[in-house]
Amino acid sequence: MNNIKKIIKNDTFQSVLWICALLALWEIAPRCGWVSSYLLPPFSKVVSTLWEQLRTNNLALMTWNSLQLVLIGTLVSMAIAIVAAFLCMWCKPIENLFKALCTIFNPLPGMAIMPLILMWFGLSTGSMIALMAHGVVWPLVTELLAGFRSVPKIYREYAKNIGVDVATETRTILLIAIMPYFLSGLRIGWGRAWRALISAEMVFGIVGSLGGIGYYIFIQRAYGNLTKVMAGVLVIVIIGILIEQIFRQIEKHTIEKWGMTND
Amino acid sequence: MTNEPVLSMRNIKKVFSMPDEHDKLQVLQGISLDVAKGEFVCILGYSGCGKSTLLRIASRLEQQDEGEILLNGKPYLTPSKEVLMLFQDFNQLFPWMTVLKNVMYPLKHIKNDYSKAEIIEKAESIIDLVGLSKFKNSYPHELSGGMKQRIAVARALVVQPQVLLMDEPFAALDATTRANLQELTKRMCAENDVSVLFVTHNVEEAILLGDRIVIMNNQTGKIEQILENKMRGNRSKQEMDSFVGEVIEILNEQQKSVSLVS
Repeated sequence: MNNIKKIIKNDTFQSVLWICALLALWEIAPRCGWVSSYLLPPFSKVVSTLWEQLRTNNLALMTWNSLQLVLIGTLVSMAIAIVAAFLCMWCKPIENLFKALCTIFNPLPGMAIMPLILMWFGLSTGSMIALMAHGVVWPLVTELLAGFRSVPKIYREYAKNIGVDVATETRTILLIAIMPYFLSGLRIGWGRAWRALISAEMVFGIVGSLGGIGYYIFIQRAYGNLTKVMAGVLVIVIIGILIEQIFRQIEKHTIEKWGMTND
Repeated sequence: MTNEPVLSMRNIKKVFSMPDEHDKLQVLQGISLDVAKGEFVCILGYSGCGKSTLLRIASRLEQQDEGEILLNGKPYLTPSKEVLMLFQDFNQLFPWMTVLKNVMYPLKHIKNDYSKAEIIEKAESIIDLVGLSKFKNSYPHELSGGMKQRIAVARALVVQPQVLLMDEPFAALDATTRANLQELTKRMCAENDVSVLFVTHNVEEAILLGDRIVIMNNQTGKIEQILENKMRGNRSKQEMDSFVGEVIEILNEQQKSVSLVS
C-alpha cells in the first residue's frame, strides 16, 4: 500500500501520467467529433502515418539531413566559441570586442538576419551553418568566459606550483573545470540552432536536393495534409526529448558525479 | 639534521599598495630565515602579519620586492615541485578526479622516469599511508574536510618535495581531526626528510609541531623572536602550559588585548 502511494507521488510517474492523459484526449477528441478530425487528426493516426512515412517516404532521410546539419552547425560553432573564448582570455581588447558583439548579437533572433545571410552566401549549407553559428556562438562564448573566470584560483596556483606548462594546465585543468558552464552554454546554443534551422527550412525552403524536416512540414502544409504535418512535428518533439536525455546523461556522468553542480 | 639550510630567505621585503589609497602597506620588512633539512619550522603570528605572503613568496607564487630565496644555496626563481604549497582551502583537489587520480596527477605531469604502473603504485601506497585506501576511487566531494586535507598531504608528499609550505592547512578542522592530521603530517614529513614551513596562529599547534617557532610581529613586519622548541619529546602538562604561557607573552607584547589560544 505504501509503495503504491510512493509511486503515485513520484514526480516522473505524474509527468508520464499527464502525458498519457493528454495523448488520450488527443485520441478521443477528434474521434468523438469534439473537434474536426481534419484539423486535429487522432494521435494513433499520426503515429501510423509517421511510421509509414518513415518507411516509404523520405521523412527519415530528411530528418537525418536536418540532424546532420544541426550537428555540424553546433560542432563548428563550438570550435569557434572555444577559440574565441581563449582569445578573450589571452587579450583584454579582444574580450571587450567580443563582449560588445555579444551585447549586439545575442538578443538578435537568427531568423531576423537570415535574409542578409541569404543575400551574402546564397541558399546553401554554408548559410545554414552561419545561421546556426549565430545562435550558438554568442551564448556559448558568454558562458565560457564566465566559466574561465569561475575556475578557482587554487587549481591554477597548484598547477603553477608543481611547474606544469600552460598547455598541460589548459588541457588537464581549465578545459575540465569549465565543464558546467560549457554544458549550459551548449544547451542554450543547440536549442537555438535547432529552432533556427527548422524555421529557416520552413521559410526559405530547400537546402540540398531533398531538404530537411522543416521543409517536410512546410511542403505537407502546402498540400494541406495535416496528419503528415503532425507526424513531422512529432519527429521534432522526439528529437528534442532525445537530445535533452543525452545532455542529462552527460551531466550525470560528469559534473553531477564530480559534485560540480550548483544545486 | 645538517647545518646546511635547504631553504633560505634573505632579507625579504614586500609592500602592498592599498586599494583606493596612496598608502603602502609594508607587510614584510626584511625577513631572514633558514630552514634545515628535515626541520619543522612553525611561523606564529597574528592575522595580517604577512605569514601567508611569506609562504607565497617562498613558493614563488608571489614575488618579493627585495631580498632573495635560496634553495640549497642557489637562487630559487620559478615555482617547482621542490617547494610545494599546501593550502588551507579544502577544495584544492580537482573535483573531477578520483582520489587516486588526484594523487597521481603531479607524477603524471611533472617530468620523471616513472612508468604508469610505478605511478599508480606510488600513489596507492601513499594513500594507504594517510589511511584512505578504501576511498581511493571516491571523488573529493564525497569526502569530509579532514579526509580531503589528508589527500592533499598525500598529493604533496608523493612528489618528494624538499620543502613543504603549509598555510594553516588544518585551521578549519575540528579538534580531533586536526590532532590526527597534525600527528600524521609531522610523522610523514619526518620519515621523508621533508623540511616544513608551517604557518599558524595557534600557539599550541606551533608548540606541538615545530622544532623551532618563529614569532612574527605584525606591527613591524619583522621576526620578533625565534624560539627553540623546548617541548620536543618531553611534554608534561605543566611544562607545556608554562611554555605556552611564555610564547603567548612574547606575542602579547605586540598586541595586548587579543588572546590567541583557542
